[in-house]
Amino acid sequence: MEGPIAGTGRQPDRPDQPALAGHRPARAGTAPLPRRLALFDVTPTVAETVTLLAELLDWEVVAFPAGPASCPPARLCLAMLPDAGCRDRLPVAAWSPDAILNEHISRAGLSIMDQPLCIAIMEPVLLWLSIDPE
Amino acid sequence: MIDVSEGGQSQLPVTGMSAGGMAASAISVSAISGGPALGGRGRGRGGQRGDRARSAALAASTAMPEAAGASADALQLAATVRRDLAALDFAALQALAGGVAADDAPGAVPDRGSGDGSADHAAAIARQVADMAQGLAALADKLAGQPQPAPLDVAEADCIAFIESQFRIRRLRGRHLPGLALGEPAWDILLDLAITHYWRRETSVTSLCIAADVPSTTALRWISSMTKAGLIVRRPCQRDGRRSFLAIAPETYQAMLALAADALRTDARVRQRYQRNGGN
Repeated sequence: MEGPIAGTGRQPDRPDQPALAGHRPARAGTAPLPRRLALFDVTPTVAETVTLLAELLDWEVVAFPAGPASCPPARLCLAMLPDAGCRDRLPVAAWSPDAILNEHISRAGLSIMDQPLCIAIMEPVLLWLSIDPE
Repeated sequence: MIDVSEGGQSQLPVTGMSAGGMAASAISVSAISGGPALGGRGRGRGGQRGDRARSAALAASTAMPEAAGASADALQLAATVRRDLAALDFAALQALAGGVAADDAPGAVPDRGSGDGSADHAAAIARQVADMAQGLAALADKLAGQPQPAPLDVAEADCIAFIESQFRIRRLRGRHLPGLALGEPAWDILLDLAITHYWRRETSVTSLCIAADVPSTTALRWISSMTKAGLIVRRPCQRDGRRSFLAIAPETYQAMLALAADALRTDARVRQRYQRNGGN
């Protein structure tokens, strides 16, 4: 996985168990990223849903407006992609500063999400990414 | 443990029973010389009474703590009764009581003048045991009479069957009354969580949102507020303890069972009334 956003758009084989199932290797010598979700210029409608879901799963959510922002360490980032359609239905990109997590996000088909934002996909990914490496 | 005084009143102190006034009055028994003798041959009135009392007390002390919502006093009493009964050697005491009763039986030659006083001593113990059993029986009756929030007379499976039928009936509303948004997602969430708790299934947020039968954001708002209110708790995943799922709080589950039991009883009463009216 080279870039921060490199999605295939494909869906996981089993929605209840993400395709990224498997052992996530621990990053030797580095502390795990905090269980934090960063939202970049996400519309209030989408942000509310994501925030409610993430907080239920014990994630911290930080939101940033449009434009350059210095993001604190976060395990997962979401951002709206520009498009000509309705703003609430813009594609959402997901990535992580951690390359290993990026790989899992991509394999789960979450890198660029179909609209509307689907909590059935978001939840297993958040659950998976919430696991601290041993 | 058993303190027997010769003549007059003697107290049978029961460990820990001074903690509650009710317990103290029920268990602190007195053996009075010349009191009611045990009748029959070893399995006389006192012996049967003792057996019945012990069974009742044991049943009460065993069952009551498991009943959810039992008061702290009832739990303490039941624990004390259980401990005291475990400390008593009932077999030896009953054998002793049987021997004394045999001596008292018609045709038996009483050994009153033996001089060692062992028969009198044994009779006093036997009476005390009988009195103590009576006290335990009274205590068991008091424990059994306390209000129980748990549905003791309706099986858990029946309650869950009722809850699941309610959940399914709510889904039928959309089929027969299309276009009506009757709502009440919190109730749908509670019904679903109670069912999944009974079947030991793990509940994801997504499945709860589906059960709520409202848009995801609305369902998430309800789940969030119900979690903050303590109706929903997070439980670690059984397969992977690092993950967690949502579950109904134990108190909420008990309340749902009690509600279902009440509802079933109400349903039976209403049906009876309609059947009577139909017969007239």
